[in-house]
Amino acid sequence: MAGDSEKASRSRDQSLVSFFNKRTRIDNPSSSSSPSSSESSKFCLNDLKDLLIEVFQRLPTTKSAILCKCVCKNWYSLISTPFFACRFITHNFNRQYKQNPSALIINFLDLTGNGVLAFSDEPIFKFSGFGLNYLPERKGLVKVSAIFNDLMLCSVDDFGVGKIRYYICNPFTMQWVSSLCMNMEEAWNIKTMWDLFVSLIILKIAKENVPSIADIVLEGSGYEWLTNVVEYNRKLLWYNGKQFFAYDPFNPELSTFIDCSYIQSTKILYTGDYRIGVCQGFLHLMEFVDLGNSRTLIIWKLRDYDKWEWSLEDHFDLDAMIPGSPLVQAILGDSEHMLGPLAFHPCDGDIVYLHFENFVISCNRRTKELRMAGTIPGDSYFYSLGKVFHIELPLWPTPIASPIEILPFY
Amino acid sequence: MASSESTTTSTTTKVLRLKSSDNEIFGVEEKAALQSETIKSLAEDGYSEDVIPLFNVEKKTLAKIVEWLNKHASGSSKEELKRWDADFVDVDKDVLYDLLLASNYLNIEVLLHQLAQKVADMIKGKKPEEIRQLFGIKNDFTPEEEAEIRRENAWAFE
Repeated sequence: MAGDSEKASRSRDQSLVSFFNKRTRIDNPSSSSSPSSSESSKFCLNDLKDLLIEVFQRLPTTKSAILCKCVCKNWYSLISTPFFACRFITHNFNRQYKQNPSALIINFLDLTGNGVLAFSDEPIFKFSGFGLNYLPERKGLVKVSAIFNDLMLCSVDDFGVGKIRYYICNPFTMQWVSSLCMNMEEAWNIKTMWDLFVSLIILKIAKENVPSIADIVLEGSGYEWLTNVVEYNRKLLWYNGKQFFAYDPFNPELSTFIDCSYIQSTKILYTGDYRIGVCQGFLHLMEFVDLGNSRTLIIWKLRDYDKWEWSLEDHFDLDAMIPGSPLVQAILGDSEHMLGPLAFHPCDGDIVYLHFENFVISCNRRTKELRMAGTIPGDSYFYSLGKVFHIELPLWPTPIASPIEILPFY
Repeated sequence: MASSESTTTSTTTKVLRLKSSDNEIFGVEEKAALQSETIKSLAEDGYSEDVIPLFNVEKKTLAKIVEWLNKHASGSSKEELKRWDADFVDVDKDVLYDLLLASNYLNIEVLLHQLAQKVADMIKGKKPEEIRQLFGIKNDFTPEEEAEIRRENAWAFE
């Protein structure tokens, strides 16, 4: 290097010092001349906010990120921000995160009152938050009326004062907000449509905005709409065996009925047993058809939402499968009752869940095997009217901060 | 100026000279060095002919960084690079910390992400108290605050 550039180089070095001081606030980490200071104190991530966020968003599970909130105030505030939630979701979404853990939520009734069962292999759903004990007035009967993402609409019957109270809660964070209180008599007059009605109110349909739909649904067909409410394609769907009611929370005026009675043409004797559910991202419908001696399970898949085109996915004789499973056969015994539909597995396309009284039976439609999957606590009779929902722990739990933010979509 | 140990072999490829905070000079091929955004902007500013001073990186850390830069410019296969990277970040936490600071300062995005992933891997599966101990973090919550945070995030603790 030429000697005369030495000076220029040095002055440039000087300007660089100030340049770097402005550019980064990191202190010089070297200080190799301090062997006396404790080694463990050197790792001081807290000086580096941006780096910390880079680290946290790479944690493998939501749970591990939440645990970090408890380390110190700085970590708590960093992880609590909506900004971090966005970063975490984006990062994990980008690397094709495996399916979110999910569970079936099943209402049940036993001697001590109603309860809510989270039915899943995932340990995270063993969490006591699904017991809903944190809701006020819990001494009444509690049940789930609808689920949207990880938010549950729960009702608590308080016989003491003759009221039904509705809450929206997140079972993971145990945050809740009170949404409505109704006299029981009023509620019973509306019968089972009340749940639907409340669901609609919760989702901020102002009744006056869509009187036609609200009236049809409310005064309509009563019990036949007593089906599970499924969230699909950003809409809430009900099915009464003939038609779907699709409620669009974003554009309530676009809510519609869809006639699907044409897919019943294959039925010889309609049993009235059906379930809708989402499996592998597609809306599915399972129906039981009685062919005299045997019951056939028919599974439809909605191929095209816009055209409401269904394709026949599968149909098979359930009774023929029963002898292959001694355990299931033993449970069924000589009972007059038969297996009924329960739910779709949210990600495993081979599995549908059936039930017999309180017993949950998984049916593998590829291997044609029936397997005992568990039991629903409580009285089997009451269960038969129960609803089944699907809940998923999203990449970040939906916060319920204030009544303003009860809408789960924001 | 300290005598250069770098082997600035006279080849057709351009070599940049990086100087650590403790005045060690490393010669790095331009292609490798420019993976650092900081070095890139300095080189564009006309420093490529001179020694590029890196005041925030001492020589033992810079040596590791240079090793990484060279490897990642060597055209190794993806699989080999993956294996090599896993070994590279398998260091004790003080070295890891120095590397984090240096890669942040030098703005080497790929390396920074690898190191952040390594720290995340160290954190995962640990309880808050274990994390504090690992990184020497002081618990600045009052017992009441900590209990409240545990309550509001109880599902993660079960």
